[in-house]
Amino acid sequence: MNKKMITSMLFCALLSSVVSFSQSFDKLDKAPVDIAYLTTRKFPSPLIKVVYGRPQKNSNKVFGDQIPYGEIWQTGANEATEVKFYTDMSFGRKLVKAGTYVMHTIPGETEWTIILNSNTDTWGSYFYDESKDVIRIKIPAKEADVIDVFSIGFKEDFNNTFMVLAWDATRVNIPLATQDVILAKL
Amino acid sequence: MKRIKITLGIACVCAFLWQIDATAQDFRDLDASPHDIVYFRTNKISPPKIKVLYGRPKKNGREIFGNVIPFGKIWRVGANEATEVVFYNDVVFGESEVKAGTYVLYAIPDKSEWTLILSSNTDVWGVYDYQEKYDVARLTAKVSKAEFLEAFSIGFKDKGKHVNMVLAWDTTRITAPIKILL
Repeated sequence: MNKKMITSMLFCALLSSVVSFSQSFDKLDKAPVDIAYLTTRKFPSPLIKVVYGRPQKNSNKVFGDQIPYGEIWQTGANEATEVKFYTDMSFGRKLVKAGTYVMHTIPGETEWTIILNSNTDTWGSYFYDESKDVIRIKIPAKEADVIDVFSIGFKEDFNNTFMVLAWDATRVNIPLATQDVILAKL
Repeated sequence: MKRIKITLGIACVCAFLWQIDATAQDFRDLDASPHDIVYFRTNKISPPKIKVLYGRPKKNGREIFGNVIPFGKIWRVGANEATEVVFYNDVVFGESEVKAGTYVLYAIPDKSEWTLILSSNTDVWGVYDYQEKYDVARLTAKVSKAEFLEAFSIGFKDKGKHVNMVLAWDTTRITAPIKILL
């Protein structure tokens, strides 16, 4: 074995180790992760945090085509959408304990099923396990102007707070309330 | 009384129908420096040991460390919301034992060594809310050079007895050994 060969072999070994190292970093996602916080004037520290992937619209119609009706969806992209409640709250008029959940949905033409599930840190809806459901609610689907990128936000009107799922011309408004609001209404 | 109840009922229905739906402008655009999630698991199907949620700015032809990110000043280790680290087990970070939980990761970059800081003051933006009194642990991490990366990246390398959390951007690599306690 001559010196040149040894050098080139060493170089190759070095190169392959560098290459394998660079592969340990993920590329930027096509549907990047975003964070949405719910804070209110009354509660400046967060009440809810949502971490979710934001895919783009890539067909004429998102729901019923790109995302089929009647099938469970991770409500975003890549890692399952995570919702953290910092305090016990009413979510879709059902009480949910403070904690971290994944949110799956079953989109429908007129009505969506929204699921909070305790099987966190999972990918997509592949690991969805119905026995880990914490709550299931049904919310009517509404129409509004077209938004190309899947968005989760919060809105307040008439003293009501909603978590809004928005994509294409579809809006799903999930009513929210903190415990003192629930108590005040009793 | 009955009439009042009916009127109230109608008012409630009207308020419900009146509800204005959120328009496209009510939602934030995609971030220029999007967030990403990276997990450390000992194998593909095991539950996670560490999770990092961080913003990924791009180099865009700029000189990063010592320029865009100055040496000796605290940095959010990403972009936008402060970088969040979740430990699913207790760990050893630098000299300190850290309880399982959620922390914010900050760094003070420098030429040959970085200081990494875990803070308990979570859900904050950038470094504006950084307060030393919330420090949980500090770690001195070594700087090395490797091949170019356009986007700021965080990854893990399993070393058996510990795991290296690697911060990578441009040709700079910062290696932080973390020991996971079982």
